[in-house]
Amino acid sequence: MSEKKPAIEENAKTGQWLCGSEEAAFAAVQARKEGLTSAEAAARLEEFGPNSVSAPRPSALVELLRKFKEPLVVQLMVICILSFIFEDDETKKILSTSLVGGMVFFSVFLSYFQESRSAQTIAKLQAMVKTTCDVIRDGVEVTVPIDQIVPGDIVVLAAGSIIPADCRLLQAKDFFLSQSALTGESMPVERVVMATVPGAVSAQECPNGCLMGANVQSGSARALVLATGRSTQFGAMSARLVERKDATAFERGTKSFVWMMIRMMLVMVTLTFGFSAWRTSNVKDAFLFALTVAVGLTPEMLPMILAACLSKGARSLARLKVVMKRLDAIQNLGAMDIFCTDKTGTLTQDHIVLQRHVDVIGRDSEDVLRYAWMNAHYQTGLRNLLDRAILSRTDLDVERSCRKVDEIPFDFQRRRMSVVVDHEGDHLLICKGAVEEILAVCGQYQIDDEIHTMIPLIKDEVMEEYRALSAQGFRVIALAYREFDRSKEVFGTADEANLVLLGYLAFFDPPKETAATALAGLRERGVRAKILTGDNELVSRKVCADVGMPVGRVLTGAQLAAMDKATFDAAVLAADIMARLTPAQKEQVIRSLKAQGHTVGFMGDGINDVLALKAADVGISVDTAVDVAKESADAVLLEKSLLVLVDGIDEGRRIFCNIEKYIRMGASSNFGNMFSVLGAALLLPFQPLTPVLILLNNFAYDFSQTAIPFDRVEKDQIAKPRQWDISSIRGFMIWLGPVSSLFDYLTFALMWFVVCPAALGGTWSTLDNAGQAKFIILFQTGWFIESIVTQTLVVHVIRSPKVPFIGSRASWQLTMTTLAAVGFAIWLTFSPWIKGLGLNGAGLGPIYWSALLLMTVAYVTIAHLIARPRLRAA
Amino acid sequence: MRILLEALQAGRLFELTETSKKGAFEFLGRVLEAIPEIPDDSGVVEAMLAREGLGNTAIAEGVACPHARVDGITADIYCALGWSAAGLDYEAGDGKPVHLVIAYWIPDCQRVGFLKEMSGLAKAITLTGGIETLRKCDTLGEVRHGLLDWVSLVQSAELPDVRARMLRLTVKPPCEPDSTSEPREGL
Repeated sequence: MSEKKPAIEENAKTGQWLCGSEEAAFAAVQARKEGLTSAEAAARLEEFGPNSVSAPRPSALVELLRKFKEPLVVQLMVICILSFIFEDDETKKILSTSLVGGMVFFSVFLSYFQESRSAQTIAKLQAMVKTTCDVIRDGVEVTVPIDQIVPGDIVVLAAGSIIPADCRLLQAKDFFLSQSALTGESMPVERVVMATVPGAVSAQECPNGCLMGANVQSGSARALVLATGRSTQFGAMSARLVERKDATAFERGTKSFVWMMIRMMLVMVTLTFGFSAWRTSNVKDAFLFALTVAVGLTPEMLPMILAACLSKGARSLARLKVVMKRLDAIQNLGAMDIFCTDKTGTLTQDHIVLQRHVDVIGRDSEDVLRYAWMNAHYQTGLRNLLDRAILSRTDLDVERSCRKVDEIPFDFQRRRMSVVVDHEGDHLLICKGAVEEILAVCGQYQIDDEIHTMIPLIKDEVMEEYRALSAQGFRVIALAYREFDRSKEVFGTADEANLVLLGYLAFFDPPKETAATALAGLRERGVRAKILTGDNELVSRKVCADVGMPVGRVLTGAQLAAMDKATFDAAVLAADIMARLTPAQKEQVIRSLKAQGHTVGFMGDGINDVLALKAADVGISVDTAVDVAKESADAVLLEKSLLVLVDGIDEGRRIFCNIEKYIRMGASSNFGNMFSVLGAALLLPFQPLTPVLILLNNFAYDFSQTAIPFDRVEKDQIAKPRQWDISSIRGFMIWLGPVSSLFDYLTFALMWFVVCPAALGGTWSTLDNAGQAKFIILFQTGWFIESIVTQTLVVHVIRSPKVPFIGSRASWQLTMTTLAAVGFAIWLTFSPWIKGLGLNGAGLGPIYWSALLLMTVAYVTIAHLIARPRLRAA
Repeated sequence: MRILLEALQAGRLFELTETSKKGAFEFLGRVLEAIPEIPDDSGVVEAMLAREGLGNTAIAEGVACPHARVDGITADIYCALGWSAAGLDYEAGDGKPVHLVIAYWIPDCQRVGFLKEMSGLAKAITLTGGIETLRKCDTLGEVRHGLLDWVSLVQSAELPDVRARMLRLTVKPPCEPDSTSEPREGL
């Protein structure tokens, strides 16, 4: 079989076997009419792989290695290697290399761990939604998951089945397919068995062919599977359609933030190296110091914080049965300020119901329902959604008094169909179909039990009822009948003449029960909803009215097509409903809204929504969607309830708030530290901290931030869309950074002029070498503690505009990690077993500790006063 | 044909001096608005023109039935007739001039009555050979007599054309029927 695989794939591309003879098809896939055995199927599954169009997930190792490509991780690794090469002191070499290695570990493994945890949760969730197919195995009909279908299988198809692979028909009876997922054509197509198909036809038009992605509208069939998975026509199309999406605003924002920090770090490190080398006259030490400063200035935990926040959000959403396929889309959910949706299957149930059955002047009529039921009940051809809706409304006892005489099947030229029923001595022809087509063959109409002559003016009048129902958003068909003598047994389309118009049937796809509440929830959260649909504007208006969505301007695809770019942009922003759109127009609308600065979500379920799903910042699909739509989406809702959308938005905003906390922290404290280090390198005759202490400081700080993903978020912080705002971050940098530096300089002054001279009995210049060495140790200890205390505690200030610790408290996790970082720093300075670190907490004295307390309170107060208006404005 | 008869009895048949369709509408609209039961300023002419915009109201053989439908009023249907011996250019589908214009004012609750009136009129035209008999009339009085003949002809003929004998079927009980139970009432 293995040599056949390339041939099968090649033939699948052209669809050649679909149109060839049955024998040729069996020979090509080395199969028999009795089907495969279980063992053969298992072997072929091994060879061809699962019948799925999704790209296989990369291995754990590949995913892990990808993490090392992050610029911040690369930077840490370079520093780690350079420290290892240039550091002479073995203890310091091991310590500094371990600390930087630990940070890499934290950043890479924690983010990998978080992501794979949420991927597992999502995979479990996805496993719940397996689709199955009936297939002949070992000579009997069995049901297997669709991904287990292999070339050579014989599948058993019935109304409602989805075509699981590219197949050639072996048997078919009244077999109609909907290929809308493949071709966008909503009208069903009939498939029949032909020995061979004369002439050249495409795979989609081949009468013998059933292509993956189609579904059975009516009838039954058996078919031989010729190609599966990505070898199918649908698979090839899906592969093209699920290509990587554009980077989102958030991705672009974080990337630009990272590069901004790296660029600033490079400038500052160069300056620090220059100043330090000049002041200490030790180039190698200055180089190592500059390297460790580089670590200190890098927001190296950003990838981990991002991964942890997003993974936590994905798990929360997974509990709500929302599969997040692309983690960063969660944040986009929170940033979304325009929500576009296709209507059918998303806002509506995609389940047609018969809403009204009325006579020619719009009065409810049981006769209309009864005759429509007879027509739907007795017809054997294409039984579509409308027939099912009629049949589900009632169930009449026809066995005793009625007999089917004949049927005039539906076709798309006449757009009507009739059944003839023998009832109490008459042959009754009941015809239903498109209103215009039915009226064209009506010579009379009925009101109550009176039948009158139809004239053109009356046709216009009775059409008014049709127009009124259509304007209300119903899909309307007409019903007519005619009595014939019992002697007439055979009927044809010519008998559909001089009918009596009985009335109309109005159908509707009702909105999901939760749609109205969900849309109201979106409005409360500052998210504007827009309908982008291929359906007509009347039906769309009706759906909007039913879900309580205010409808202002309505535009059609034709109107949009006639607009220039500026008019188009303004129009799509103003419109609430855009109807009769092509798939390309949906995408165009999304791109226009994005270009106007909006974060746009799109929810859709068909292949015609795929372009829009990919163009949107966050593409959302539903479980009933076609696979390619689910593949292209960032999120898939497994539950029918749309309320999870609102939960998703809240979750996205919470996540964004927490990510913002880290970015604000990083931007402000790193910017402040740059000033402090630069000043110290310029002013002091020694380095303010040793490289190892800088790394320890950074390690403790990073540790304290690991609980940010678990922090609480105030309700008013998630009340409106939260979008990436670089100016707000810059504001924090410019204002909070210098304040942080100010307190560093105060500490320098305190240590230089007060604490060190008091403890050592003399100023720097009066001390001998041994005294100066102790001076340096004490100085570094003092700044080490102050730096960690102010750096870690400031998270309580920038996490909420409310008064820290009183108005708003952080989660217990964040409180614990920040206290632990402070406690760890102080403990290190007293620790007897890390003498090599060169710390002397015991020598600091009460003046230092009192001043530290005062400075901490003052810093937190000033930082709060500066941060509050910015946080409120954010 | 009751409404037509009442209009003839009330003397609402006029010679049309207007030669245009719009002129005929305005004239007959004023006649209708003069009927005490029809509210003032009810916009009869505008409503007739709007309806005409949806489709021509010539019903063949030189007869046209423009009409104004009104919502929210409970009242009877009224009509006014205009006769044009020369014929109006009514832009009818058959291209023929219209000689008899019957303008109706129809409250929405009277739609059934209007449809039946139209069916009766169509039957009269079929039974009498159409407008040709009226075109031979020299005076408006003769036209009136001719129209009264239409009314009596239709009233003596069997209307409606047919009485429908609709199928009566019972609804299946929701669960397994008891053999002794009576069938449920039909739909």
